[in-house]
Amino acid sequence: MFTWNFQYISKSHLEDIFKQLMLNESERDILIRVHTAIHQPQEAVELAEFIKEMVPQAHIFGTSTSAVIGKGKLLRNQCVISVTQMQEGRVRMLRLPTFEESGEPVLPEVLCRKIREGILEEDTKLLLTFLTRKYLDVASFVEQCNDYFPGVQMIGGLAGAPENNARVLSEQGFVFDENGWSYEDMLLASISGKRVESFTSYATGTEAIGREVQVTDSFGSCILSIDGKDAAEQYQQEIGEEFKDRVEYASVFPYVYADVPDVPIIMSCSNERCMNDVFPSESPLYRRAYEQRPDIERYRKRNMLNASHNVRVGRKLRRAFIYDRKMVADNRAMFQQVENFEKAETIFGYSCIIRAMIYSNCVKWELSAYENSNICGCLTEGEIVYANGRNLFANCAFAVSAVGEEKASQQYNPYVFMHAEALEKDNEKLLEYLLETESRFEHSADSDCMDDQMEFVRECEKKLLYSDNSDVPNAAAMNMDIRLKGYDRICMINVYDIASMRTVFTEQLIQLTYQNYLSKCASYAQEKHYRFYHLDRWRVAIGAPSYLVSLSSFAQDMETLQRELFDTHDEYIAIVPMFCILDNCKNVDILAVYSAARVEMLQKNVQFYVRNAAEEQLDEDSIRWKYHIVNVINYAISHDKVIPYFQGIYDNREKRIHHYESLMRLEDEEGNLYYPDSFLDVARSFGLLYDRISMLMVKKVFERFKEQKDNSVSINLGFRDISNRELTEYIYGFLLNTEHPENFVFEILENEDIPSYDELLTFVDRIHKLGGKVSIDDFGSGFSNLQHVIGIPFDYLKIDGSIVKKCCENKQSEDLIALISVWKNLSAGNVKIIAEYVENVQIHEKLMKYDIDFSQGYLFSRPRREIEI
Amino acid sequence: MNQKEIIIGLIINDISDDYSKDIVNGVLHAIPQNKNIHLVTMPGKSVSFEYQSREIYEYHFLRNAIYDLGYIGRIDGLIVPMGSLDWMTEKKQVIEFLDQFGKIPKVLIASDYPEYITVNYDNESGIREAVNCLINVNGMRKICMLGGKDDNMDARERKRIYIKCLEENGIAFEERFYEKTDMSGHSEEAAQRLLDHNPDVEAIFCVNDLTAAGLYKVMEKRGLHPGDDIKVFGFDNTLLAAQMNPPLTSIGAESMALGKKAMELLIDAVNRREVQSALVPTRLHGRYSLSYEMYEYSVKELIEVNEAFIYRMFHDCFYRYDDRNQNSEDIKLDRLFFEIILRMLRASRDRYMTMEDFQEVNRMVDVFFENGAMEYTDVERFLICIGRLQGRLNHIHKAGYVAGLINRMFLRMKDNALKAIAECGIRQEYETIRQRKNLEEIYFRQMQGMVSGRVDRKDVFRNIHKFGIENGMIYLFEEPVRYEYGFKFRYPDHVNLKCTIKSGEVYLLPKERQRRTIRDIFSENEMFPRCKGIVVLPIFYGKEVYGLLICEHIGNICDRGEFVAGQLSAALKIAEKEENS
Repeated sequence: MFTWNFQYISKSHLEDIFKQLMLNESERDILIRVHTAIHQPQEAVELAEFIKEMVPQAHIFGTSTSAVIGKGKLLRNQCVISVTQMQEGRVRMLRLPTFEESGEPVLPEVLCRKIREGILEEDTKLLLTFLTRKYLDVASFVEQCNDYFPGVQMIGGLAGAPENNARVLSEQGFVFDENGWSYEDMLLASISGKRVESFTSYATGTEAIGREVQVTDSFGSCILSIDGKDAAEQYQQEIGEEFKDRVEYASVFPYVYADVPDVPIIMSCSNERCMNDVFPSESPLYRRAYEQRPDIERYRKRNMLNASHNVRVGRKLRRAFIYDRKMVADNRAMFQQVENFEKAETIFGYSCIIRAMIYSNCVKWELSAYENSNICGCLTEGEIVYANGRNLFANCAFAVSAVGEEKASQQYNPYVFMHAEALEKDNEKLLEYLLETESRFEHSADSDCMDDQMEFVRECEKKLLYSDNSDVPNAAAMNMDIRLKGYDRICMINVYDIASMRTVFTEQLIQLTYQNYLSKCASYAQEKHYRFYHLDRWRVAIGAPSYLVSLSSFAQDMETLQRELFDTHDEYIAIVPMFCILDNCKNVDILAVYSAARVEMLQKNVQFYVRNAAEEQLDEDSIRWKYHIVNVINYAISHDKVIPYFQGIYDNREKRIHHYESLMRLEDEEGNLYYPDSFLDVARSFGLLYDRISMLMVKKVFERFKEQKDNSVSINLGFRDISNRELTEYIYGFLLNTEHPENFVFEILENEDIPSYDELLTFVDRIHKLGGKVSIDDFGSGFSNLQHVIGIPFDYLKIDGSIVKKCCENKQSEDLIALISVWKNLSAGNVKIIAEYVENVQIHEKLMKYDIDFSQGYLFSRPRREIEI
Repeated sequence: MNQKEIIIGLIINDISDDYSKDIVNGVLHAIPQNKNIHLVTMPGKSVSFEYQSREIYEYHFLRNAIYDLGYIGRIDGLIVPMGSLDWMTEKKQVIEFLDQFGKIPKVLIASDYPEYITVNYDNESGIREAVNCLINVNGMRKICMLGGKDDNMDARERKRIYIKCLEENGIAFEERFYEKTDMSGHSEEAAQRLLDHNPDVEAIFCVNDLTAAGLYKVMEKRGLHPGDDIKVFGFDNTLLAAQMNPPLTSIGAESMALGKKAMELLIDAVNRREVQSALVPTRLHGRYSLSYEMYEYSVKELIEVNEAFIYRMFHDCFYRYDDRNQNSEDIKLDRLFFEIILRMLRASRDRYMTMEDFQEVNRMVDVFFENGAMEYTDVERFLICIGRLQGRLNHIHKAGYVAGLINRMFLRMKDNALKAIAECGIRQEYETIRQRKNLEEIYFRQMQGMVSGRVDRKDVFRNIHKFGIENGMIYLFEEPVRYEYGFKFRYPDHVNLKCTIKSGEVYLLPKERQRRTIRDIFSENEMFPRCKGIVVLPIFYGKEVYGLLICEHIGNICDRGEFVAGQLSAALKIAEKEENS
């Protein structure tokens, strides 16, 4: 068997593909499945005809759908074509009308018989079956198939209505082949062959929770009474008044048949309509039904509970609940079986539209396990599935069939089962609803009759909030507590290095240590009245509300616990649990904050850490200011308002000014000036802005000084500038071409964290080679690593202003200047010393005393826009 | 982003008064966290030619020289309660004084200068509430007033509104209904006159709580009981009001204190935002001397378990609690109270409570009181509020298992409250004893030194932490500066930082590292990174000023700071004498 899937783009494209495929249609059976969400019925038939022209022997099986499944993804507004060529096996197709000419539905047993006679063979393994929504006896049809051709696996469902934003394609789902289309027909394809084998299964994520009830009266798909009570009323009470506005929740709490507790039957409720509205008695469809039930009041308005198919009296129902962990478990079970199936040459996948609506994250997630396989299918409005030897009709299910003749295996992605967090998002909404429901029950006056429902809701909550196979609350419970109960002090506890543990210790010992770790954490939390959450293996959390526990005592307790965990006995492995307290974690993405905190913990190598989760969030003023500055910077860039100011630097020996420092200023629309300390931080955080203003600044300064012979200028550069290749290349290019490169001095900040000295040295060497000069800025303001500083071959050293300013009053400052001066002499005078912030004569005199080469400050010159040189 | 440091100055007199303390604490608490905003409190003394002897007011003038530091050192904004400038009788003087501080933003408290940003009490709402309650609820018509100084803006306003409210109710004001006082505790003579002139008086409005204290004394001598014989109510709703016997009903801020509002406005002004003068609304806080309740607890509210209702109940009872000023690391008492009451009301409504729930609530009640809930109310107010709630709940469900549990929880609350109050008292007493012992030790050592002739200033500094200062600095002038009345005090340009106290540890600085310019005394302050506010106190003996003591602004520094500075001065004086001889 060989299968090829592709997206329909155009007829010519289709033609090319078929040419490339070189199908051997004369000897082998070919099944071509077309699932379209973009064609009108007639267009679809034309497409089928076109395919038929190219591949005359092929069996074309077409359905409409709301979205197709391809490449492990749900794709809207597409049409997918899947070509399967058999080796020895056979494909047979059948299109059956499901309604008589009179308009009455064909009885299920009649359909079964026709199928058996029409296309079934002894070695038929898989029956692809598509119906339309109109045929309501679908459930009993599928049931009866089990009797008419036992052992034949079925997959398929009800064709969905194609949806397209641009135009209305068709109100209902339809099936088609090259001979035409229909809203009413059934389309079948059997795959048979001695060597053909198939595996079919499904996943729903449903668990029956409520007690068993019995359908005591029904009419067609309408359930009239359950256990003798009005079914609709009962149901509305259970789901709640609000369900009218939030239909999606009705699907989370479906009924199931008691004998198949994991196949949901989605109910819908219609209000204040009469039987005749829903089942028009004049329609031949229901004639037989009305004849059988003359007692039905056709015109009395009432609430009605409808299933998606006819429900027989006497069937036992239970209330059920769809939730994430069951989803994961179901999917995992199905996936493992598909993965182990030996002849997985072709994968069919059909998922329910309701599932995609409520559990969109889930559908994405479960499909992604198959993303590298050749899975192909579509969304349906009800699924025919097979499991444990029987075919069933289901809602809200994800059905998969694997079929093949030869040994083959697909590429799967089993890792998705390790990352099921995406599903928690769905859960949150659900939990909210459950809590709402609970509080509604709480407020309801008639509390006795609610007990049952209350129990049900609580049971559901428990499913969502507690971790696997234990009654310890899980991550979802933690998030709920944070949001609803004010548990905003959370301590995340984690143990790393499990992998290395495994290489040395036995699994049994690890397990023992793990249990000890868990129980210690849990019992300590309980003793202190904190909440304990089990998030994942080795990952736990302890939470407390800020209204009951102050941060200091919480931190103290957590430290005690950490110490207790460190104190290991001989019988356990020594572990290092990392404790990270996240305070104030209301309204924040706790995982993001935790990750950031973890990085810091690693950098600082600490095992205990307290972090205020809300701290990173700037207050409104700061944010506003930040964006104001961004605007100013943008304006300055686009309106040429990056302005260099120049401050003269006085040569103490020659007693004149011939060197200038360039200082960056920005101007806004109103002409206000901005100084670097107000915008540099913001510009750095928007890295590209910083690069651009740096570039503009350098260009302008070069422009101003390129003609100068006797005057030199210095330009401030940060480390970011030095690693900015565009800028450095520009600088190198300029120095190479200018007449007096020695007039250009590049000032490098001493107090900046320099990630790579090599890079810095390369830059300095390059500048020197090209004849430029280098200066160390703000010397003495950071914690200088003198070895590093001295390792840089600089030409100027600028003493930090805070030292200079105080040198008359403060002995230490003076001593520092003396020290620098002595050192300068020792280094043979290759280096010139500049002192900034020279504000008065006293300071200047003191500097002269220590033989400082240059003075910069208000005493000599203020920064100006225009200088006369 | 590094935020620029902002230093706010506060000029205020008599900081150990409850009124001033409320302002100081309000200002301090309004400082937002992590904003690099710091407060410098410069405490002075009230000056009054009319009520003080010459020695006293000359001395007080000297004390007020501390205000000048506000413009000598760098500050970025200034808060001035006008009461602190009480010796300035003319507007010109005030403007001249304020102009010395340059163009920095300034916020005044209780001023009537429209050209300055001002925070005032909305005197009218509270007084009207009180007068209407007396006339309409209690049916009284003879309501007198113990007023304040004529030069005090608030005193004038309160008198005006009092008269206006009487007249609105058809009662003509007569001069004998009114007596003026100096607004301090020395109001007994005025109170006597008032009672003599009005033997049939039914209620007395005191211009502030302090004045009411004087009235209480006079009434006691005459065998009159406030609240029973004469209704009394004051103004400012200070702690004093609750401590008086019987507790005094007082008009006070509805929720936000004056100081806090002033600080908020000033921070906005410093950040160059448009700021306008503001009125702080007032309400009547009922206690024994005039029963009054603003809110009714209706059955409906109790049954519906409404969130807003519980929070309102909390703020009505714990009226000093301001949720916005709480340290985020501490326990949030309002939320805790909400959780407690929520569970109680639910239990009462459902007539059902599990034993686990009961125990949990009990635990929560314990935590609530262990974390200082009683600091935000007074016993009287607490008992009234809790009593009312308990009464209403018992009224709804008279008996039964749950009613029993609920009453036990109320009992636990009251037990806890009384325990907290008692503990607080014991702690204070213990603290006083400890401090006295420390002082005795210091004196003893000095006396020893005097005998042996080895008194050293360093010894004094070394023991400074025994005064109970955890964080602080001592600056001394090169030479003591003499103060002459009538001349401006001249601060020297340089000061020597003798020692710093960090977390109770004293660090003496070597001589060569002591020199500082007085200009930088606030802006280059080693304490600011660690503390929100500091208090600057002069160290002086007689008319000689030695230097300045700077303490972290925490705990009971308002009460103790001046005393500590005084003791320090005395110790230095002794040491100086010894060194000279």
